[in-house]
Amino acid sequence: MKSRTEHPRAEQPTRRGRRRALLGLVALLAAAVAAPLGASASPRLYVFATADMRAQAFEKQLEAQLPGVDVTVFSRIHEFEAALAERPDAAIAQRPVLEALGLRPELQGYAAERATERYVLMSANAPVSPGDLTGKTLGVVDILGRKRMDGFVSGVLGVPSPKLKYVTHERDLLPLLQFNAAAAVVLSEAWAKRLREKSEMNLRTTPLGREVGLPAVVFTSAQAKAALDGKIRAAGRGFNDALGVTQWR
Amino acid sequence: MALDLRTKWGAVCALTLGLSSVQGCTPKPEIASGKQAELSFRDAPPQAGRDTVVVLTPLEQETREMWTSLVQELGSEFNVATVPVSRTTGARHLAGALERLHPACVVVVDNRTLELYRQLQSERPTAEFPPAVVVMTSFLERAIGGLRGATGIAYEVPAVSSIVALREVSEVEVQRVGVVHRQTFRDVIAKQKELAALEKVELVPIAVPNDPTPEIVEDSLDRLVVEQKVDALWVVNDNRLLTGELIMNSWLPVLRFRPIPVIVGVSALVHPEVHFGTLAVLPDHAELGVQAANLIFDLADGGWQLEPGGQVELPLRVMTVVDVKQVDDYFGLEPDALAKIDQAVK
Repeated sequence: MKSRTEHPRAEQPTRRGRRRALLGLVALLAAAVAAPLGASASPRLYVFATADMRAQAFEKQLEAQLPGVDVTVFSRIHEFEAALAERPDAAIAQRPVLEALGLRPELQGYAAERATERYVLMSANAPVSPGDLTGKTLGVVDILGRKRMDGFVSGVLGVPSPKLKYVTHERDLLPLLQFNAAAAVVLSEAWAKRLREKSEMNLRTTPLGREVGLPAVVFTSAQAKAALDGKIRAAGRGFNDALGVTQWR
Repeated sequence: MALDLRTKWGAVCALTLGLSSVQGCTPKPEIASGKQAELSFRDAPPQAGRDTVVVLTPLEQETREMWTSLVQELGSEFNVATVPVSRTTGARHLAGALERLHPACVVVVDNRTLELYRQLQSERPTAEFPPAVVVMTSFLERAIGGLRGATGIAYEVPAVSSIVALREVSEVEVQRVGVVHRQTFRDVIAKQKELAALEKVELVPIAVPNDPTPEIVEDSLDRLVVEQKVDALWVVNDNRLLTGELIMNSWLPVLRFRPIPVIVGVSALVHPEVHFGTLAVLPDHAELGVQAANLIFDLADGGWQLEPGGQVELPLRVMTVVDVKQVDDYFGLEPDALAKIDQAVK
């Protein structure tokens, strides 16, 4: 029930949830007695990422692969940015997100020996190239906050950013195309594949030249790194698949 | 599903009682039952040099989630001033608030607030109003007509989004979807038909009179389900077609003998003991707040001028309430469906 953007009302508090709330309270009290950061029983890992499932299910999937780690998933950049002020032990997000927030990743996710992934332009019926977007609207997931997104999109497209229409999750890009609210959307190749599976529309993709950094990890202290680095490297396939990587190094 | 209406009478009553929230035509947003959550609509102190966005809203549980995400998104750049609207609020009160706060933009939340705002504009035909973003109102594309300087987000989830949601949870092949609608909704349905066609789904409409009898509704449903053999039904959020009498005497008798997936727009219509709604597809209120905030940022980027010909947007994010047993028993549950649906009714 910790995911910060999706429907807490949809599920009743579980016994586990109540127990965790109590544990949280105890941890807070302990912290108030000046325990050093990162010394709580369960290290806290904040994750800013999306998956093709509810945030709560995503969170459970990640947590199941990292026993003893308290995972919280965020799907809106503002919430993630604000929550970092709580100083979790570690945070995972796409590398450009961490760098835009002034953080220095210490562990990088890789997929097939690559630390970056390909992005594509997706459109309905006819392929669209970056040069075709002048004067048009491009749909994009807001991963950096509006003020930083023009530069990011411009970098990915290789041309000045057109007018952007923001959403908070890749699955919201499909309605933008269905409702003709954007001429195209920009997203990772992996997500483009998922949208194709969901839709019967004639979706066309144009690969983009510049790739985007895969998820990476920042730690907030040496103790936190000691507690979590090994666990993340050894996390199971379910954890890595959910984040679109195959290994961490 | 063999529905014995006598033994299931209690469940049907519960379902129609749940529908009382739809009777005002607005599909009342979904609320978890039980303890009333403490409502908090506290504004942050205003900061000098920032534009102000005024939110005219009922302070209710239904609006809080939308308000919360709206304010989270806007709060870093604008002063947000919330003006409560209750049953006793009049247009003069709104006028006073707008004169005092000088907003760059107004957010109008729910049907009653929209009517008050419309009244305010009609009482001041020559006055300048800031651009308004209207949310959580019924059939906004119609309701916004005659309002000066307004845009917004429709509350009704398009059929195409609902059909995609059905495909995600059920293994049933969905190519033809039937819809019974009153004649007054002909234009709404025509637009839905176009959108559905993009997903290679044929929306098969049957129009009934604006004041239909149970027999006419039942016959129309029969034609769709038995003669046309549609793969699913999509139910319009029209209170006149969802009265207790029509549900009992028209909808349920047809669905009793021919179970097919029924997509509704209100979670009260998904009940484990009554074969009516298979899944409800509703706008996600938190995301509605984010979408409204993005509209406001776009307005600010454009110097608080509405783009000419600007259309009412459709809700981008939906949430699903699914009768899992019904889907599993009759239509086949997709293997990963449970991780994707927001609320499982069992």
